[in-house]
Amino acid sequence: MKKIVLIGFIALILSFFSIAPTQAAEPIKFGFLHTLSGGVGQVYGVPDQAGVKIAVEEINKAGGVLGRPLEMISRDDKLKAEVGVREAKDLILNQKVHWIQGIVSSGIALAVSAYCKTQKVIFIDTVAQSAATTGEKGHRYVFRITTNTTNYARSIANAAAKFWGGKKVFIIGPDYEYGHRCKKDFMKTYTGLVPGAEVVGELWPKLGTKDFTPYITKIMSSNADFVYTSLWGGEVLSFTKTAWPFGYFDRVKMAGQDWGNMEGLSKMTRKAYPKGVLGGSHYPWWLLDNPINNVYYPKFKKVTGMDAGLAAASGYTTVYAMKKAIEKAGSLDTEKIIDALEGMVIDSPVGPLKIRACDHQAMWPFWVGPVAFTKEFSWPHITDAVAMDPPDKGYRTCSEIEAARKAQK
Amino acid sequence: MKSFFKQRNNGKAVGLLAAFAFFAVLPLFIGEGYISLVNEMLILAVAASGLNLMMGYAGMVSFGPSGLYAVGAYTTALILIYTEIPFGLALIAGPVMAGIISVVVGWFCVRLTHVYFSLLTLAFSQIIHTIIFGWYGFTHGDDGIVDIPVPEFLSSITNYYYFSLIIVCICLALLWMIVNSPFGKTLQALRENPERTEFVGIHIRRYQLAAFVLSGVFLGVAGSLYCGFNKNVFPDFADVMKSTEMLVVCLLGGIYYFLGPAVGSIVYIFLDKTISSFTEYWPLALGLVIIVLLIFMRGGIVGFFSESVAAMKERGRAKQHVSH
Amino acid sequence: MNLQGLVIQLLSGMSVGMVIFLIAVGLSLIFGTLQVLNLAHASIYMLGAYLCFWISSMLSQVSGSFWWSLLMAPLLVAMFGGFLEVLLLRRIYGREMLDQFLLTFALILIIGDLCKLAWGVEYHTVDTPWPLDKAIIFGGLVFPRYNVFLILSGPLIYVGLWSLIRYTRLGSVVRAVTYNREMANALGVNVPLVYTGVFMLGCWLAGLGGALVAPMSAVMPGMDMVVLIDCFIIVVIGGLGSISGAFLGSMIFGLVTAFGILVAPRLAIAFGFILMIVVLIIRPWGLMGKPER
Repeated sequence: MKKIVLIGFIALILSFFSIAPTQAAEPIKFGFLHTLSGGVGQVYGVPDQAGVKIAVEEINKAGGVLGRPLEMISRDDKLKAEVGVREAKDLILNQKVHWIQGIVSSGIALAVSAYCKTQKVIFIDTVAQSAATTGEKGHRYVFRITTNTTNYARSIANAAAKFWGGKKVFIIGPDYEYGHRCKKDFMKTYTGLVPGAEVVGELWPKLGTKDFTPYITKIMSSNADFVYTSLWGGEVLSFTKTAWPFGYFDRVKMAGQDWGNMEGLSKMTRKAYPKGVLGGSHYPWWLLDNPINNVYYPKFKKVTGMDAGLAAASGYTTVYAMKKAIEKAGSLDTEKIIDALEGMVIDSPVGPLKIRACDHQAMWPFWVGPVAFTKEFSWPHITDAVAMDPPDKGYRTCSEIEAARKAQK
Repeated sequence: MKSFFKQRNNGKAVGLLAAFAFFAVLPLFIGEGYISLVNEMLILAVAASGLNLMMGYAGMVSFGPSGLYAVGAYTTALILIYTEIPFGLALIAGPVMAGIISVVVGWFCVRLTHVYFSLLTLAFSQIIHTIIFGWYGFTHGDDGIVDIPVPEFLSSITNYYYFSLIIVCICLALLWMIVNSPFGKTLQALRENPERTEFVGIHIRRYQLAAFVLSGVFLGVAGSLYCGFNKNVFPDFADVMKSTEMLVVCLLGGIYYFLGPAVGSIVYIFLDKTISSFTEYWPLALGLVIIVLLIFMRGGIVGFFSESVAAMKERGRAKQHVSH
Repeated sequence: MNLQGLVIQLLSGMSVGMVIFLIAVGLSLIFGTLQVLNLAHASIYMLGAYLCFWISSMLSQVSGSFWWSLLMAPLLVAMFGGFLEVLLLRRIYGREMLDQFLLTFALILIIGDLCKLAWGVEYHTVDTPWPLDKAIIFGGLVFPRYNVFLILSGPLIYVGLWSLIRYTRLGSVVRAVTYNREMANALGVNVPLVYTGVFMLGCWLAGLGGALVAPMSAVMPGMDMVVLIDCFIIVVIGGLGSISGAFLGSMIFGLVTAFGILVAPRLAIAFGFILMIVVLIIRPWGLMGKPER
């Protein structure tokens, strides 16, 4: 037995050296770096990977980019910043990729972005939402093709002011920087719309909380006009399941940016759903009517068996954006590609998107509307959704970005 | 059970020199991307060897080494971003701070034994994690600290590699001296038989505290080195997974061998990197590797090889006897 | 806050505590008898939740599907536990704690990935079963029946376990093995069988906890790690190996969570660890445990 283990071991070590990178010049390589295992991040990473794969296959079938096929090199950051940077180094130094896209955690996105800056390689954030990535910490080599926290806060605050407009706001959010930043941004916008609005109570359950019972009873005993929540993902589902039997959604008004996304809602039934909550969605495909969405959505469902959520749509769009930019630049020169991307309008399942030149943020719209059941679908979804019009309104202006960057220094 | 690394001192010295030479010329043969990976292995080797001083030699199983590692990393990082103190001093401050924190934490921990000791170390590391994670104004919370200024001559991968290679060698040499000193021997006696050691007049807790603090200092060195290496630090340096990673590394290499943790680090990062390039189901693979190790390779890799070598020699000797 | 609010908060705290009790007591029981701190216990709980989801979705046409899965999921989990014990854990009993730690850690990784392979990375959930899907309305108080059911099932399991260990012949055998393994063995007790049995019982409890959590939260990857740390905190507070300790610890944990957030919402993440450190320093064997011999 021991001999077998020994031989196996040696074989494994030898195999490593045979995996040395092959320098085939033909395909255009890019890195897909995302959370594919361990913890909650994979709920976004795995579908994103599927979306990117679909885009790569479509493009390659249609003749590739500049006559060369795309090759996606997929890496797992394991939801750890050090692994993210390690894999980014591997992708850039060993695999010689032309750009990196992906990443769910804002912290990892900042770290990878900082590294890509030193290496002068393009990094495109497709899921992580921290406004700082393209704001205060933005630079020439980082892009984002998805929404950001500023847009969340502004869209939700606008909708809340429009639908309700109460002065007493209750806050509940996950206890980490995302939750606190959302609170700050939300209140800033909301007090601008409803002067005199104030926070009358706040709760910070730790990230990953399963049982929200005490939080729900506490909220229900407060006399707030409405609740703003930055809870996201599985916590949307957990919170809803626990809150429903209390009659929570009949008695409490609530608004939250992740409460209209498919990830949380697609598994809910009429027996428990966030009735009337003002939810937000990056990709409400049921409300959209454009040629890309009409093809992409059913295709994604057919290929993966999953409902297309926010991550996959961003990943898919990003590959096409790079295709367009490379073709416009006419070469794989990074600087030329960046010049091409700046101010470019790209096609996506949510319609045409402009990539702003000043901060490299795509003007991805964010839809907000009350969650309800309709006859059309067997799960709850946002209805009568409105997005900021034009979408630029959801983001800081270029001069605000410039000021924020200066303040950092 | 004879140890390969304990048998012949001359051979050992030659072997160590060869190893050092190997690492020193490595950048000539492989690309920067791989050098960076080797650098990570070296840093992890210091952390794991430091942990093993406490665990393998003194028999105190800590579930929370990552807390002290993070203290080292964050001390260096915070000094570098908030003050003008030069890099060298910031690097030294990391282990010093980790040492100070270990005195406090260790003072409580060594009062407990077995599983209670381990659980208390876990709880303290979680508190450290919570502080780093929650104190956004000072530590930047879960965003971590990125873009840490590192002197120009150390910012290239190869230069930093040589820099850490030297520090790692110094640390391993110091650890080697510690475990072979009377102090180190006493620790081993403590592990084997605490009661008897106490009868000889040894103040157990004082020795354990000393081991705890020394261990903490080396964890701090590793943390600080990593901070300079990656130019960023994150709260997950302090979490349970990081601690477990260090424990797995020690076990993988063999906790009863001086070089066990170092070998473990190399193999662990290598496996981790290779497996996860192939499949997102690397946890499954890693889990299976750990189980195989536990059941078939009890002494870890170093233990396994030294036993195999010893067995081969036995067999060789037996054959010679037969032929003559 | 008025009296009504306090009563509701008290009930919420008890509901939180009783769910976590089912999981923590299994951990404590296993440690008490087998002297193994099973890190994979929370993964077993996750498996229970997934199985509950899976069985009830398979039986979605049958009435009372949840109740069937509540019955079957913990049993399947217990069988899986027995399989693990016989195949793996049995090999490491005499070994050092580090080996046990790593083996059970490896199980966390393996079980996590097996769940991912079987059920994907999407969130799942289970409908709250009839007749517990409504709320009890008493005066101005509104409290869901399902939470009342949880609050009641905690003490029920506690009393059941306690009498099992205290009054039955089986219990006395378990106690004998816990107290002195060699002696019990010499007296003709089949010690390995007792170990397997206790481990399965512990897993059954974790599976039950998982199945009961499924209707009130998302069943998803990573749901195990948070619970694991909470369980550690509870068994340390109550005393490793003590059933009553686990009960008391869970109660304290639930109530501290429910009332702590009223006083200091920002400290919710640190409460548990602070409590754990204080107990370990002052009384390392826990509130209800016995000092080490």
